[in-house]
Amino acid sequence: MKLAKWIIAAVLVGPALNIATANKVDPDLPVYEPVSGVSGNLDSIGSDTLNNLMTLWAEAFSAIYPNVHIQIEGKGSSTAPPALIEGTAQLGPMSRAMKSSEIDKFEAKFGYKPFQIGVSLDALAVFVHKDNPIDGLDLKQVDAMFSSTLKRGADPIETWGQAGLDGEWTSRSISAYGRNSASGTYGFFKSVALLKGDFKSTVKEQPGSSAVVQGIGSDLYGIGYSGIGYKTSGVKVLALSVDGGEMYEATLENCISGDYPLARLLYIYINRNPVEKLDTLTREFLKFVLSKQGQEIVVKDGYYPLPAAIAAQYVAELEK
Amino acid sequence: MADEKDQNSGPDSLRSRSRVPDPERFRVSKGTLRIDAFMTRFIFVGGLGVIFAIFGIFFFILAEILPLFGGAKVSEESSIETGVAEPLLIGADEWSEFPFVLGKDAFHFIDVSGSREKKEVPISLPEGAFISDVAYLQESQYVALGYSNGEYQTVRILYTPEFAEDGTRTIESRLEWDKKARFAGSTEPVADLAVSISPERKIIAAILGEGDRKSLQVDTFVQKRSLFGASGFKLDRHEDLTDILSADPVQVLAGANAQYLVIRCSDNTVHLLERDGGWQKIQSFNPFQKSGAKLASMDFIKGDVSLAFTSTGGDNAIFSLYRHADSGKRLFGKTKELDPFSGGATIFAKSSRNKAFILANDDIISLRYATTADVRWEADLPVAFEQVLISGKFDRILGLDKGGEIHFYRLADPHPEAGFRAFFAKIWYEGQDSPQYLWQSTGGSDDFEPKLSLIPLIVGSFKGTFYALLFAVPIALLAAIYTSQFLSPRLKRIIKPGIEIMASLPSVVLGFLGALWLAPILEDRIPSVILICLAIPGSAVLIGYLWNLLPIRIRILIPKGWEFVIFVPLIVVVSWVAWSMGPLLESIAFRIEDPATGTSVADFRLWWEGFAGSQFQQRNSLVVGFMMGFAVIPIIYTIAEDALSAVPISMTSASLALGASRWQTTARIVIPTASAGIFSACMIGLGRAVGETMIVVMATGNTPILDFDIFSGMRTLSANIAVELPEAPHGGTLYRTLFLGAFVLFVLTFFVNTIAEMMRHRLRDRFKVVG
Repeated sequence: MKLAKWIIAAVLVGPALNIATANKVDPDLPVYEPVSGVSGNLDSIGSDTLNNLMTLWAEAFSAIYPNVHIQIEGKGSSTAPPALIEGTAQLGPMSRAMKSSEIDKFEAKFGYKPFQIGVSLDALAVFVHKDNPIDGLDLKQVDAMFSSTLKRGADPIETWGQAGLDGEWTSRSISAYGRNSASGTYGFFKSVALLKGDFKSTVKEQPGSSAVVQGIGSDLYGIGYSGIGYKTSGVKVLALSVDGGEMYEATLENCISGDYPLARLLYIYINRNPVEKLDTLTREFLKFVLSKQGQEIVVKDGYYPLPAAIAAQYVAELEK
Repeated sequence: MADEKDQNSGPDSLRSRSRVPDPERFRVSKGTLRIDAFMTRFIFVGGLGVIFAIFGIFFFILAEILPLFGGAKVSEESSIETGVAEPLLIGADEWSEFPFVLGKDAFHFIDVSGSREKKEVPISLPEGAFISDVAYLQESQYVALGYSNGEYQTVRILYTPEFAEDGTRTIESRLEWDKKARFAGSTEPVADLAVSISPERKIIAAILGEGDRKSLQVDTFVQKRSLFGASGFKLDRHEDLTDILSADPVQVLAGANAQYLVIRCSDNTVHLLERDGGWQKIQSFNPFQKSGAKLASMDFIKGDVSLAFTSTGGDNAIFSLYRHADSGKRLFGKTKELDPFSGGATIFAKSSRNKAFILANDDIISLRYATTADVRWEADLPVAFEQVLISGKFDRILGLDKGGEIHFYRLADPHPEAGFRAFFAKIWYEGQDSPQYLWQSTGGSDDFEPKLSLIPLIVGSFKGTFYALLFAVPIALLAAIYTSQFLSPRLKRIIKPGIEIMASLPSVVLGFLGALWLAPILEDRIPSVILICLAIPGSAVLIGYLWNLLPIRIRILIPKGWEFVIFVPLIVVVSWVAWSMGPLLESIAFRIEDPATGTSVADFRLWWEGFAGSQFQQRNSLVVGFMMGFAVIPIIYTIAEDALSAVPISMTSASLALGASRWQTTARIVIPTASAGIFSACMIGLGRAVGETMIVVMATGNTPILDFDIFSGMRTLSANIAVELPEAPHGGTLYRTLFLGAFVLFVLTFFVNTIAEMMRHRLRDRFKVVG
């Protein structure tokens, strides 16, 4: 997926500038203090949603510790568990929680469960083309556009007219974009928005979040989902409601309050032996991620920072 | 050698050679012989190596896919005497290391390794009451106890692994009791209890009372949840649903996100209740209405949207919740019928990892899989069980007999969801309204039912290949004929390598261009494309005809093989005109009445959807056909051109000398003679198109659909492997299924190539050039 990286490089600049001013990190977050004796290599394999973020963290971390080399590969959350099990990576970023079947395989090899750390907040956003007049949707409608099982109980929606648009949009077919099945975003959307239903076979599966956003940006009748950090000027984020309730924008406040229905945590999984202390390099990297500097990078990349209390909890667990 | 040289050099030797031939001269040098012998063996070994390598790959793939078709292996491991008289329930931690048995008045935890004493946790029973029913949620380790005085209580068993210094693990258990509660003042004994918990809601349903005084009560609890935790469940409402029922309730189940209740009544009717504000009855049905058999058991399969029924007549059927198109409601419908289970089940256990379940009665135990309707394992029971449990990791079966002894069975069934039916047959999956061929391998949660039909992928492979060849073959072959027969040889030396360079375009670049550049352009200009497809061949023929009408003194101005200087500019002009005429054609031919506004709009996309009844996708087969065509054209072109150029000049000369025109010679002599080569060119092009991956991954939506529509996408076998292999855990079902896809691809190409080779031989024999 060299190409994916190429696209990412191109897209990266856009969202970073857009949202940078909109959200502030929690002022109570601790400032990261460098310690001595941190060097070595870290490998990260996993989520594509977290790919840009991991790259930015790695750059900033290497700036503090010049002897640290970090390699990042982001094909999808489902690639993280096999990488942690095989030992090809020390960090496994994931945009969904691990499934029990994945934990089973890890546990079968190591005897203990993988260690989970939340590193950022994300509003899984539903995007449409920027010229689409629609502003918000109900999750029922989203389900009706993407799902073949319609677990939310709406009638199937094939055209924009059925989704409430009029004029020339009325009889236009909806062109749905989604992620490939390796993606945690795919899994999360399926579990939460479709209530564990199935996607329609006509939802186009794209190999990366940026490909989804690009696809929608060049398809006037397109709709799709990905992490909010991938927002570009070519697309528009929709507000969402549940069961006909109030519409909520995908903002930090709505994510923390739980009002925005597709808010989620992004994770990094590590292989931590419960009877041994975590190695310095991994621990310092994660502490950096959970620090003020780390969370400022989150904001810069268009995602939402963790509240200080939550970050402190994770740091405490790391130090244990 | 040296001698020979000497002999040749002198005039003496020349003379002697002319007189008596020197026998040494005809002897092959030792060096040549040695090289010859070496090369014979080397080539032999090399050839053998190639054959072995191919067989090696074949057997490797075979070894990867064979486990998919195996059944379950179950072997008895051990048994532990617990000493609990009249046990009510067996439960276990996910590791099956510290299971518990619920006795009359206590939980008994037993360490399987025998290193610890039995741990007993007493239950504070209400005065004078006993436990009249229990419900157990294995995944969340919730136990609900119903008492004979109408009270109920839930308890959560918290299992935590503790690690010693040397890394050994022991499981600790802790019980978290909720307060006792009562269904709205009822004092009747709890006859049947059911619990369902979702992140926002918890429902506890019970049948209370005995004889004909039974009632159905439901308590609903709610909690507010955010990303960082939950507020804790609070009682929201209490409902008495006795009036909804037609007859005496026998059994109640709660499921599907705490959204549904299923009640079995004594008259063999099953009622489905949906929580929509309050509880509404939305369906009543008798699962075995046709056979008239009596219901023996009813239980949820993992995911709580499918019910497994057995009847005393031995029927075993699965009913799933799906949206009925006529009512628009999600109701139960029969989706599968399994092999009979004689006598009906009295014991049921479900896996918490997949859609497997166990049916048992006093005599037989049977492990079945709901998706494939497959019986994985069946055996006679040595002792009658009271309860059966499938361990959390689907690796053990725990049977609790009536004497309180736990029997451990090791279960080895790594691929229960696989099988011939799963890959190649229509299956009625959970939530779908009809049996279908579907590919959807992964979900975000464990109760997802993998859909592993290879049929859409095989169809997708054929579809992509078909559209690629539809575009590539005519262009490549005509170009080959033209360059080999009509073009000036000087130019051919430039053009042929030029086209061959096209083959070096990386397919990922083609795919990228197709997806982000060509697809949006083509989307709006389909009428232009249609016009161009008609105009170019049409105008070429027309220009040729007109050219022919011109007097010879004008035609002679253009030397033979340079006619294209006239053609190419004309065709470019025609193409440009056709491209710009597209919107005009659209506005004339592709008008459609917009049902919403009543006005007539010219739009090909809308027109197509009305005309073909299928969606118009931006990432469609046309785009892939164009892009793949680019990859395939150079290959077909260069091989076909070689074949055409290899036709002996003697034949063409003879033909031309006998007065045939250039076209006649080409059509009647050259093409038939070269047909075997042209055919191979097409087959090699086909091979390339079938295996092409990156273009399809990038330029289509990878939609695993089952149609041959030109304006919809596809997902090919090879693209599927590329997209899903990174996420497939080594040795898992998906991993092996992807190998099966590779195997199918291998077999398909093998067949196509064999047939092609046979046809090529026949063609070659038919048009053999006589020496």
